[in-house]
Amino acid sequence: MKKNALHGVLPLLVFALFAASLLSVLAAGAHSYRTLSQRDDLAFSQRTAAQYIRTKIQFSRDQADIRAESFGNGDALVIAEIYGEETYLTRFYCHNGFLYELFAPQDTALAPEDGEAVLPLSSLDISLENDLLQLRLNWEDASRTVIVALDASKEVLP
Amino acid sequence: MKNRSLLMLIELTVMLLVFALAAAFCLQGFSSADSLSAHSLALDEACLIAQNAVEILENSGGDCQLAEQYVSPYLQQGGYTLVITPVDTDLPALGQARVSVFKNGESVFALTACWQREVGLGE
Repeated sequence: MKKNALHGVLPLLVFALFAASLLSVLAAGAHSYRTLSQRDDLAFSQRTAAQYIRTKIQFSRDQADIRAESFGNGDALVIAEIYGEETYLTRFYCHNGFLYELFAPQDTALAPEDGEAVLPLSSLDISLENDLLQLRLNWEDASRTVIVALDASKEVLP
Repeated sequence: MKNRSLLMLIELTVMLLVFALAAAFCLQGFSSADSLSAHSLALDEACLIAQNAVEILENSGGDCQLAEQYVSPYLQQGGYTLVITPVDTDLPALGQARVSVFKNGESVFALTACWQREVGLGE
């Protein structure tokens, strides 16, 4: 009688083991996907923000005056270029957890929220030393540094 | 009845074995996806480090010490190492260096920096 009961329970035990294995593999897959997805999102933000700013500076450094100044509550990278007879400023700064870009004529009074949110960013620190512009882009658990050389001796703007 | 139960047990055991094999492949796939993603992240960072070093080299006329001085503070946290190797060229006006970034002793990314040297008319 006991042996018969065991024969009945054993398939159930094996099935339970199968179900447990299935669930653990599914859980491992979901965890792996979530980790990869978060990491790839972060990598995309880091790579794109760093390369976007670098490309903007490299593209305009021969015809523009590039400097760091304060805007809103933090540092802003300012690229001043002349179009026609008017000077336009492109500002890059961090506001409300995003990297913002703001393009406007020099004399226009604008607030940080008037810009365009480009990518997520926690903070932006800018320093200029020995003609080397250093931009430190910070996220919650990562940071990237972009170094671009500027020629301070050239005068672009009158 | 007894035979039916035994047959079911065998069937379940075979199913469990097949599943174990499939699960092993899946786990291997998850692990390789994770290492690929980590390598991709390291490649991004190494690329940025090398670009920073090249930017300094090209604009300082090949000052390796200056490049290392500015880039080194950002290497430690990710376990990266920067190696700048000057390369001899046949042209006296052309300076060249190989910028390599290593992570935990393994080469991750390399770039070649070129810059113009100031030379006299007779050189």
